Amino acid sequence: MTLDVPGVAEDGARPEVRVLRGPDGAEAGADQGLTVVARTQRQLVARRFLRHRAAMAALATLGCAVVLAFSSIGVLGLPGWWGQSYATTASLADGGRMTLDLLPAAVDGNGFAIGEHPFGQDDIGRDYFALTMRGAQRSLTIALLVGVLSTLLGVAVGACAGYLGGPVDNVLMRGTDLIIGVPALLVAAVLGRYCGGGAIGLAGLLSLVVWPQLARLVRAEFLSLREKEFVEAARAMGARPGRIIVRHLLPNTAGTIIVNATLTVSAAILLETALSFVGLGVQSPDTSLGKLINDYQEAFQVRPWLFWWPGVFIVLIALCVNFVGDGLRDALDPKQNKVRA
Amino acid sequence: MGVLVARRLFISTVTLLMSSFLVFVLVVNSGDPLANLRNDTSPERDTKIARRIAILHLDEPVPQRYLKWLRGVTGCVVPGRDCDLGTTVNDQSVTALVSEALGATLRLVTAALVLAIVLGVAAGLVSALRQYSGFDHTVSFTAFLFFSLPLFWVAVLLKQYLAIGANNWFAEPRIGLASALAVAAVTGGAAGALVGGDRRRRWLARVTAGGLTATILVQLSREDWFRRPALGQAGIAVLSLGSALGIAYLSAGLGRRAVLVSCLATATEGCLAQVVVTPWLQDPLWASWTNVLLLLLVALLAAAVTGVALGAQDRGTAVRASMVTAAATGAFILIDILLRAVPGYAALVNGRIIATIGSQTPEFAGGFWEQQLDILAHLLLPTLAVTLVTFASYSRYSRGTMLEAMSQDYVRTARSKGLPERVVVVRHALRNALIPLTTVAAMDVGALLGGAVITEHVFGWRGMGTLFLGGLLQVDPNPVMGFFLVTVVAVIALNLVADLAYALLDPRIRL
Repeated sequence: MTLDVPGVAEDGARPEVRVLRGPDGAEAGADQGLTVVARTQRQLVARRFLRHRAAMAALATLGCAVVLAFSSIGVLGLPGWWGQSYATTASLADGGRMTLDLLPAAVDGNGFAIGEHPFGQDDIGRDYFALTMRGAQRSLTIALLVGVLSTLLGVAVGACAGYLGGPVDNVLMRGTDLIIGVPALLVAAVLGRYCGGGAIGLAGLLSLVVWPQLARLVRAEFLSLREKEFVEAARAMGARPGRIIVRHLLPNTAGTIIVNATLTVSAAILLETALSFVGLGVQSPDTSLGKLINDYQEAFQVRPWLFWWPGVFIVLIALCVNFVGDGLRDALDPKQNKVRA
Repeated sequence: MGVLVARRLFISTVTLLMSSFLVFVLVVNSGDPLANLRNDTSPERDTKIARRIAILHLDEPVPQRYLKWLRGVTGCVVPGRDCDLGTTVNDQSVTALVSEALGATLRLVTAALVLAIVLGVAAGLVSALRQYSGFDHTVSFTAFLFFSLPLFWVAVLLKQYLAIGANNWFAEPRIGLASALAVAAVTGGAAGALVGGDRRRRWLARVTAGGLTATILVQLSREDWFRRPALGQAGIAVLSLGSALGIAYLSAGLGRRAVLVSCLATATEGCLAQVVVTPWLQDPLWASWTNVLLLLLVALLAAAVTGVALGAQDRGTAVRASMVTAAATGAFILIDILLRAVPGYAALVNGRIIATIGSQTPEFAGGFWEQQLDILAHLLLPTLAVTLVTFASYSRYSRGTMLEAMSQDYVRTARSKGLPERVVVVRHALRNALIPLTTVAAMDVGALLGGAVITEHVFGWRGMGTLFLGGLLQVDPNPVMGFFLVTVVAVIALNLVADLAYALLDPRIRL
């Protein structure tokens, strides 16, 4: 049995594991089968996260989905291993039905097979696997970009407002109120008209909508942290605000920021697909998972697979990201000392 | 408090003005409002363009157009002036469109919010009380799954699969033994989780609940109940007496006889009244919501009198519990009447009961109760979709607050002074755990209105969302601004109400 003892949380985390030893040099409690290991805060967090089963499974699944989406049809001009393109039309084979078969021979007599068009074909014979992968690429890119951009923006605004206070705080917070008071979908839909249907532009515009939440959280943490003694000590030693924010305050807010960034990614993927679904997000010739569902909405009765696959990918990605976020929240929570087995 | 409200209102008004100007500018510049007319080849092209320019004041600078819009809007607040939200590109009055569309959207949002809160809080409460149990894990996973579901996908799924499946089933409404057993397994599992305690007790609950469910389903199917459903007098009696028992237990415990007797008496009165009330309400002359409300008031009054008469020393609790019982009994009577109207409604819509398009059947010819059923049938799937997606946050949130409340010192104090667990959970923990939900619910309304845009789009409602989307795609600022105004005012007002309610509920907060 091993007990985790929170180590000293210094800035430069010490990587080595210290074993508490008794006077005779033996590991304390070793005779009772009990080893006490001192770990740094960072090690504790990493351990808790690595032991969070759901989060690790989700992370692995998410990794597979990302690799599949980007490697199969290639990205940035690099060719992928999947032979067909999402743009070329072909004649319909077997009414465009799916050739994917996951059931073993004993159940339905066909055995495991991928076939020519695993996800079937759309009405003009395009390979739906390639289309879905293209949509997943775009949706993932948008979601990750929104996660990064909105986090940067939110942290910058929240940090300035929280640390500087006074009129700066007032102006910045009124700005966030302006955006937070309006439902995200509404602003996103209006802004979506400006992106011209491109994925990157849409990501930039969506980040303008989702950052205020994080800005508020960061500001709240900064308000309490800036009164702490270590900040006062740093200030007494002549550190400038920029250094105090970057070196002392941000590392202490990392937990909130990381968790929120993860959840932003899953919110962004749902927001983007919803916008593309109502025709205000990604436009032709570009595509995304939401747009695929919108495009083939009428075909569901005859070709249900056109509906299922993009949806399954959206749910899979959003679910995995949410689980990872939950695992991170558990791992970063200082009150948490129980490692979920 | 007055100062605080005034301050908040002032700040909100300023924010509203700024954000509305921003949105106005964004919408106006988002495209060419004359695009569809430019390609027009008809000889009246130029007059059409000139007319649209006149309608939208396109020849004026944007700030001036905004001020014109604002002047119309102030009429909604300032007495003695007409409320004017402008006109659409097709010269329709947005005020009329909004007031027409608002009803459908409000219905959807309210129903979804209430359902999500009730179900979410119940699930969260039970999973907090049975932490780390199978039920808890199931609820947690379901919450995560629902949280990750794209609303439009769920909506299309329900529309394309559930609606068609259910309607096909209604054509030949029978439940086979296998499906009955499947439903029984679910209710049994839920009952086992709900009861808790040792293994024997849990299995007893599972078997009882599961067996009861299966028997009822098979029996109902055999009697062809699903073709002409009704609770009937026996059903109403069982349900209302059962809920009287439950309400008495939750409010005072079964030990306090006076409360129990008063609740049971109220339920009995309701069952007796049903014999008179049901035919009366079914009469087309009397069927209306005004009369239903009137009857509810009478019922509440009767319940209060019963509570006073039978409450003895527990008068206050008895009156409150009896009034809740009366409301529940009234609800059962209402459900019974609605169920009795189902065969008539099914005949009117050719047996396709679950509607998938619009917020009601156009030019519907049925009577009052058929009309209510029509609205409900159209409301069902959109509400279900929005509820599923919102349910998750409430169940997670209430689980969290409930766990926190249960570990508080005052809960330990309550336990150690010998209060029964029911009182500890309901009075001490749950009450405090629910307070933060007021804020969450108020913040959620904005998201729900956003969700309404998607759902209305999928189900083809002529609601606020359709107005918004249509306006946005046609670069028609006034309908978009109408939706924006209603949404933001609702969000601001509800947040203010939530903050005031918070201060009332939590004495530690001072305004």
